[in-house]
Amino acid sequence: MEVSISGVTKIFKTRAGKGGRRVLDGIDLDVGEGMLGLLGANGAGKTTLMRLLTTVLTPTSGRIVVDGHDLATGPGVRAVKQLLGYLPQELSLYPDLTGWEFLDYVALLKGIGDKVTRRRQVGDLLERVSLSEVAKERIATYSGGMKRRIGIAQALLGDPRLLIVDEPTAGLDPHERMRFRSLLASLGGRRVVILSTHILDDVAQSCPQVAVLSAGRVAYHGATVGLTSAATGHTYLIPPGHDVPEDATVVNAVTTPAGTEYRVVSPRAVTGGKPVEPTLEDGYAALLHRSGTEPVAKGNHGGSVVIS
Amino acid sequence: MTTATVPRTLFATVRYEAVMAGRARVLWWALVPLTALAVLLATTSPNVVGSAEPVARVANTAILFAMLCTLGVAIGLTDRFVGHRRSGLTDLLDATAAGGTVRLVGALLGALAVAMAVPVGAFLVLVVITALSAGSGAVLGAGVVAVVTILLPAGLVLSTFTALLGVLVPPAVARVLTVLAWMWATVLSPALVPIPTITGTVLSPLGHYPAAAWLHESQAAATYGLDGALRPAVTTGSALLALLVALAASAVFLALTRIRLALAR
Repeated sequence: MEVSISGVTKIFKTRAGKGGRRVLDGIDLDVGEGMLGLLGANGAGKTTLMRLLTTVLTPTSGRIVVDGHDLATGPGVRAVKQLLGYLPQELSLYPDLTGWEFLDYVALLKGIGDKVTRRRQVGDLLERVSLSEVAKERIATYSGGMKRRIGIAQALLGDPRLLIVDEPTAGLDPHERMRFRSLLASLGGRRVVILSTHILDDVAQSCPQVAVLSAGRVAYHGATVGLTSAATGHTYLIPPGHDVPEDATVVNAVTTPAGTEYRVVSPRAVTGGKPVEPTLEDGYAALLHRSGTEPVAKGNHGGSVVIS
Repeated sequence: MTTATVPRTLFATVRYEAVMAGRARVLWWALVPLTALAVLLATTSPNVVGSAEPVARVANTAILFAMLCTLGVAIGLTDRFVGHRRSGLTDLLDATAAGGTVRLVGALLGALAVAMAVPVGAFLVLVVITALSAGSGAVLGAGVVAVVTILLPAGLVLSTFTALLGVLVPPAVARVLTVLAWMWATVLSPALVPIPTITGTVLSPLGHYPAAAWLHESQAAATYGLDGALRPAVTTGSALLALLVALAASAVFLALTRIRLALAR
């Protein structure tokens, strides 16, 4: 199972008409089995890329092949839909259906026609997302976390070999996020899981591979630890009383009785700053800092990025 | 979408849209009072009970139900398709093997089946009472014909029309426009208002032509006593034409709804 994206560009027409809005710009990405974290700022093109992969949108140019099926063809689209599980970024469920009914409905639409199989899958998934006890209650009565869990349960219907989840933990409390990460980690198997998120911790905990989109292009693709190393030698803690360099990116700021302590990623040594081991967040900041000042580099499969 | 998935998708959407429609309070708030009013008028109005001929009484009752109850059905279903534009849900459903057009048709049929069950049920009760009091089995047959040729087409046209409005303008505005359009198409004849209307023509979805052709209603009732190219003599052909127009209009409204939903992606 592999997803191959080559030269994919997506331009949305605008009301003004001229040229349109280029959201993806020549994306090249090969994704193998396992979990891939998809990172990027708001508007970087993550959701558009996911909608292309789920066949909801079609690319303006370029080619997407999933498990040998070309999404430019009707048979290809139909075949991929049979392999697909999708959790959109925002998912407003039918409030008048119960959790069980909603899953049964989606299972039917996904083509799980056999009643016994469908009931077993729905029951198993409700158990898996810990919603069995409220399965007969209407979704309108569910909390945000419960709705999100119903969302992931529907994505898993049919045991999809391509699972695409868009910001699944947004708005969840820490306990729900941990539960969700455990669920994703337990999926395993021979499937491609693409997890789009703003929450770097989710990627650090769950995804061995990561791709970063910046302004519609792939700024990084490789090992997650490789992204962290982008900030190696460039991450500093600046104690209170010292200035933050203008060209540094502030990753974190902590207010102490003595003043504010900054954690920064800087392309050059910081006077008074103490070098520290980078985290994924630092690496991501370093990459975006670099992307903002230089032409975006193509996927770096070696897993390291050096900031200038 | 393969041919094998079409029946399954249709079944799934009919089933669950029916469940959701049945649980929507607005439908019952709109439908129950209007059905009650229709029953009251059907049992007291001289236009209905004054008909000596039982089949004509069935026809007049059906016209009354079509005029009032389908309005309740439409008002209750105006925002059914707005749900198809719920954030993320459209993407999710589009990513399944189920086609959007089949889902839309299933959603319409499911919601309409639940909504029409109330007026059709009440109507058939009145038909049975009429048949018993007249001692005529033919009245029962007339009741079934009236459901098929008057109530269901009227419900279909108005539901698809209001569904289209529901995806174009806010539901409250759509409901007001639906009522106005229904009045224009079924009640306000050019003899009453100084504007062209389709009331009393073969384009009107109220079912007067089938009622006159097959259920002993008068030609004058079908055409409101007016002449014109759109008011041909009542025959089986003109009644079938009226039904065809209703079905075609429904198909057009549904197609436009589908296009609007697709453009909203």
